[in-house]
Amino acid sequence: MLNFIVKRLANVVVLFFGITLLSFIVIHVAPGKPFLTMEFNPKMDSAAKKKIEQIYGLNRPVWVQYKEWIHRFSRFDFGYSISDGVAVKDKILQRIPVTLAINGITLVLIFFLGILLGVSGAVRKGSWYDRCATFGMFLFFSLPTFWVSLLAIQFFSVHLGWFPVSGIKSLDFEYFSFGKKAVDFLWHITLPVAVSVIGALAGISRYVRERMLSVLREEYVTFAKAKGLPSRTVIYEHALKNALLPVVTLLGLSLPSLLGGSVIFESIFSIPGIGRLFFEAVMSRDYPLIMGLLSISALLTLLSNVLADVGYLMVDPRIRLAGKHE
Amino acid sequence: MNKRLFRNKTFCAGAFLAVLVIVCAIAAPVLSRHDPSRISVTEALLGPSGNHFFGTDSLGRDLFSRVLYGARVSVLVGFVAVGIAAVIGIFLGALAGFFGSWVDEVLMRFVDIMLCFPTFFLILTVVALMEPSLLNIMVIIGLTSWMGIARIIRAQVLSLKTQEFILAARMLGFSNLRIIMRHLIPNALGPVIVHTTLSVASAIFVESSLSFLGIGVQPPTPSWGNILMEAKSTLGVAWWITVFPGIFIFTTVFGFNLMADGLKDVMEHAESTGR
Amino acid sequence: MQNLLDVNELTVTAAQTNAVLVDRVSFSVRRNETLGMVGFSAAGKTLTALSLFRLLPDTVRLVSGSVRIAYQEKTLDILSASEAQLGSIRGAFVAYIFQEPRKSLNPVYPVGRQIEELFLYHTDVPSQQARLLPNFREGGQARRQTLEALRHVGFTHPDRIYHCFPHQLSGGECQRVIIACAVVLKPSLIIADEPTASLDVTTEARVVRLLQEVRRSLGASLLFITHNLPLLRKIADRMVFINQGKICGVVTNGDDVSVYAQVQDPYIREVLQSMPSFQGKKLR
Repeated sequence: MLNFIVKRLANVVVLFFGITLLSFIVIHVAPGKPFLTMEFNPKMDSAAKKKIEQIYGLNRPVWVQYKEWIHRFSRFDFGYSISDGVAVKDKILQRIPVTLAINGITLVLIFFLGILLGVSGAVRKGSWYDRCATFGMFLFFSLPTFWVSLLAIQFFSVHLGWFPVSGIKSLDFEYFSFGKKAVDFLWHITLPVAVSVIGALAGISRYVRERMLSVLREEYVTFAKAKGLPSRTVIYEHALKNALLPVVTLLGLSLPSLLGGSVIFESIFSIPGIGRLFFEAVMSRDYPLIMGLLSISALLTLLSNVLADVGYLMVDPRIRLAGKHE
Repeated sequence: MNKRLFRNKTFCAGAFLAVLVIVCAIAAPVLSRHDPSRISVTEALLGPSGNHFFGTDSLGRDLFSRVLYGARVSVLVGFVAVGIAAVIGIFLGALAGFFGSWVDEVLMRFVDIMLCFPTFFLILTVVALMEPSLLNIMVIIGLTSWMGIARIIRAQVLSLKTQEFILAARMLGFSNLRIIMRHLIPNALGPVIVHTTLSVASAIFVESSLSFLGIGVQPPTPSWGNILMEAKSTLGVAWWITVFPGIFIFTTVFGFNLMADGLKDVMEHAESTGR
Repeated sequence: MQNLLDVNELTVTAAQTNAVLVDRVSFSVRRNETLGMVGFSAAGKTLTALSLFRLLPDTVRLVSGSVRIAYQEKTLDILSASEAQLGSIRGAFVAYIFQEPRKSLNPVYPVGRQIEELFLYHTDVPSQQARLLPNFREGGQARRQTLEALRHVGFTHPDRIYHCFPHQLSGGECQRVIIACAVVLKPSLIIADEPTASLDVTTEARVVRLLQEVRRSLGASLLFITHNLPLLRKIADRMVFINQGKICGVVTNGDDVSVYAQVQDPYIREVLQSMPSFQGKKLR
């Protein structure tokens, strides 16, 4: 087990450096200087532009910039946003909770719903239920999320008025009690979460179904049946646990795509999360902010992978207790 | 095996949809009744009619022709981007699998690093820092979707490497390059086909997302994504601008996904029966 | 019913292609005997064994025939029994032992628990104990009997083995655990499908000896399926030959000449003649 942990940690360190290096390269190799958007401001003369260059260290050699970058990264000091001077760290911190909340809830939902659908489909393999469920999941998988968001707003918000069109809080949010604030928040994020879940559910449920089907063919399942155990026990105690072992890892790996997707629906639903922040940063070529966001999101992904591995470690006895008994 | 492929219902259904869209793309000039960029303010925001099958947008342009021309963009992006990704992925994957040791380690770490970034974030970054254009988008999508292919090829090459026909080729003194190109890669392509089909669907989806956000294909060139960008502002007023392009995106993605699924079934079957 | 198990015209086909895999197989297992079933790979031995108590996978279908057992003073037809009845019969009346011991054990649960659950689902244990919790109550009767069974199959430290996972035990040890599973409820019939094929020769001998001992002490019958004819010649009372899904001979074990005399099928005669112990003997 120790072996496993050490190997994973070494991997994490390598990946961490790789992440910082890659994001650094991407920003500096691509053309388009950060103050391009300011270029059209006639009041700016070349002296002022030079000053900005100096402040943001944009005129020093690339490798020096990278070294400084690494130093600051470890302190989460991503510098100051070019567009409004606010510390990048603060900007991200302010917006991250919303994105994490939405994606966290999404992950939990797709975990449970995915398992439910996958297992019930496998157990009733070939039945109408299974075929409809599989087809339905396929359908969801192919729907473009931004289109679904637009349709959802059109139908549920505008037409039916059940959900708010945008934002994460109502106008008089400040006057709500804590409980009401929580409900208000949840009400606002229902549509975005629903859209997110629809897109991601298919992958998990298909995987769970396949795992379940493959486990049900294993010899220990036949043996359990041969012992006269009721089929409910055979399925939900013997088969299920084995089938679900790698699902935890899969969930960890879903985070990058969820984060990527959040750019789109945060823009549509006007949610102040890091997805939308990233989009705004990119539009204004805000280097420090972009770098900070890229790195943080990569770190989050790394973290969720590590957590997924740890989770796997805890549930699979083959890794937890290697070696034979004496 | 090909016979079985065409008997597979999923594959055929998917292929039908995909071909339908490709036909729309190719025959766009023939099928459309109006010039997709012809602005006519008097005809703005009209609903679907006999004259304008899908209605018109806020500038009075015929939506039907715009959607058909948008198919061109999507199909082109799908195939070119995936073509690029395939070339890179097959090349790197074969190298990693064939040479092993440090080459493999370095390349696989690189793949892992790339996979840590939310792909969409990366794409956004690069596309926005360069001038958004069709070519740039295709290249960028290609540059960020090769990882899965590389892994698959690598796994295949690793298992093929030890098989007898490769040992034979080595003993006959064939150069490494020849072995890789003529013997390993053709045999490794099987599992990749499913992945590339899925990648086409994914590439089309990414392009439409980028265009939707305004950093993909720029208007007036129609793309399903940028038509939907307009739809955002006419939400509630002109439902046709939202519905029709979306249906097309969905149909295309769905079609390719079906094809991929059918291919997967056929491949698995062939593997287990050894044919 | 005189015999323990009567199989009549049992037919199994592949679900997709309708190819006949087990073709009107008929044989009986008598009380207190060791019946060997011999045949080469893919002769239909495993499918026959699984179909006896309806454990077939859904890739094959049991098409016709009958399987009758002498159960609780009555004759019971397996193929028309309810799921609930089957549940009580499997494990308690009949016990299976498969070829790959590691594969028969669930890798994520300790082996002791996999024996103990037999008690919890078959015997009248009060409902609070009947739920399988990760930590069984120590000192419970089921626990004690499980440890006793482990001791019976030759483990000197059953309490340690109880908590081990299958990957921590050797192949022979796993097979012994499975034999423990097979005996705890004192079945009348043990069906062993190539139980030693994946074990080395010494372990094989130990396991076979254990099986024989267990059978004798339980007064049970043993259906021993294998392709290893010399082994059967040493332990079986009678032998059933099966080839390509069909029974081609039933023979009472004895010396070489008498065995050969009972066999009519030319294929089996050829097989027998190729065995070293038959060489040089005068055979008709």
